[in-house]
Amino acid sequence: MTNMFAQIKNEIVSAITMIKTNISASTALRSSFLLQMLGMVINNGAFLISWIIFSQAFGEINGWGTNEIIGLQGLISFVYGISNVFAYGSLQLSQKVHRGVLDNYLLSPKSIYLRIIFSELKLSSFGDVLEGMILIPFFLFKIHASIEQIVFIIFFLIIGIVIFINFGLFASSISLFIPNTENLTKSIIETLILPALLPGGVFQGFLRFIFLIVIPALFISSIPIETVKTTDWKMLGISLIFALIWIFISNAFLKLGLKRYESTNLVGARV
Amino acid sequence: MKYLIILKTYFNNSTINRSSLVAEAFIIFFRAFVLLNVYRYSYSYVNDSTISIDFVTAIWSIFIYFIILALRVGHIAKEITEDIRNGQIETYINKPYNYLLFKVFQYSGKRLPILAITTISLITTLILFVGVPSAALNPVTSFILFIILIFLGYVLAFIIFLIVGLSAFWFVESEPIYWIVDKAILVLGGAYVPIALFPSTLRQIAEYSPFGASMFANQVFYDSFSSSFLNLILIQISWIIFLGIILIFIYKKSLRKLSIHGG
Repeated sequence: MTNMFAQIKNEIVSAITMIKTNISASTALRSSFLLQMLGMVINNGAFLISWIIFSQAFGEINGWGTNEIIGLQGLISFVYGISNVFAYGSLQLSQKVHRGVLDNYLLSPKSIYLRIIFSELKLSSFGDVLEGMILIPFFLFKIHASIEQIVFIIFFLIIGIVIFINFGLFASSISLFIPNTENLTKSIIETLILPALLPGGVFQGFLRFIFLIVIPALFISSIPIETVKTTDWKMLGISLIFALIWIFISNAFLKLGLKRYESTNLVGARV
Repeated sequence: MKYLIILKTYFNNSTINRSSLVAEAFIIFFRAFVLLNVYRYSYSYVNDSTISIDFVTAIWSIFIYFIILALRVGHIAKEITEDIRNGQIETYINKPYNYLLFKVFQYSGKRLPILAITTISLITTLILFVGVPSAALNPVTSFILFIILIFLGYVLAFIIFLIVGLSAFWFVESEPIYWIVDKAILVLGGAYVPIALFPSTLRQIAEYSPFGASMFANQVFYDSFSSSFLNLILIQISWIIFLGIILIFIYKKSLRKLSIHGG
């Protein structure tokens, strides 16, 4: 048991070291970093403006008004941002396979799952994080959130990040089965992001089922917004179970893919 | 003629990687399909008469946006930026063609198959699941005006993104400029919300800015189209002339800058 905890600790320390190295390398060009961050905030603002206009044209739909849309944009920005800043590698597996660099990761004694996830970061996503850090408190202020509701949001942010990273890894693991699937991976990830960006009140019936069970988009943004208002602990529990299921699915799919993976035999020097 | 050969060559090349074509066409279709359901539900939820356009017109407007988007004109800026960064532009400008026209025809050739697949799939979906809205003008006139607005919109969008791409000569990091312009077109072009639903001030900004002007074709089913089409065409032509002059000026400056750097 002690041995197992020591191993987990070792893996976490290793992952944190990778993240630190990636961040210090990427922030070396400070002006570029700030420009990218600002650009991303403006970029995301477009979706916010679009859905605020939508909300004003149609009014409140199933309890979804302007405040909820602001909260939703904040949540998805934060989840997407944190996932990309610290775990962009989960979306880049297909590129690694295509470029023939996956072999380097296979030779490491550390967990391949964590090695792949934390292998890269996306600099511009700090802008998403920043946007989330502005919009989420704004939403909480507008709904006069209690301490319990704030705790709810924090839990849901963690759940959303876990689901996003693992869904991304699942999508990019397809490259281990089918060659040249970079575009396919992007397309699958897009099927998660688009419904997550839309107000959840408009998804009812069959579509709601699809975006909860098959593509867990609503767990990232809409379910947290709906649940935080009612502080429904049962729904928080269900979301947590889904997050754990997605860790299992992505891990199992990755391992299955790695069994089938054949080295690209790429010859090159690592400096 | 040589540009048409370029277009044909890249068109043929792009049809080789069919899985990539299908994946990309699928995602455009997916987006449009999700929005179709969002708007269907929203219109059924609220009283239809309080909304300035009906469901069928709104969804055709959004789908037309996605059809125009299929050419992904914005990505030409990324390709030009890449050419500048890796020095490839030096090879291109020494060839017996105009670099900018080469890029436009090369890029159009690459994207035409996606445009064709998207157009067929989205129009079929609209006809089968939504129906055809009544046009303000007679169908033949509406169709001709629609083609003119699409063509002028593409020309304008290409000019805008060629300018964005060439900005890489001055800015080390030109990607944020691309994001801002791309998203300005997304909002003001009516990607997720048709501009008929905009508040009046924002609608005016959309109609008089070059970003909204590149997507005027999606207004063809609006009731106001019979009185506004001439104005829309004139706005597009004015922006094409104005930004076209700026593009030529920037391009000439870029070539001088390139020779200063020595390639």
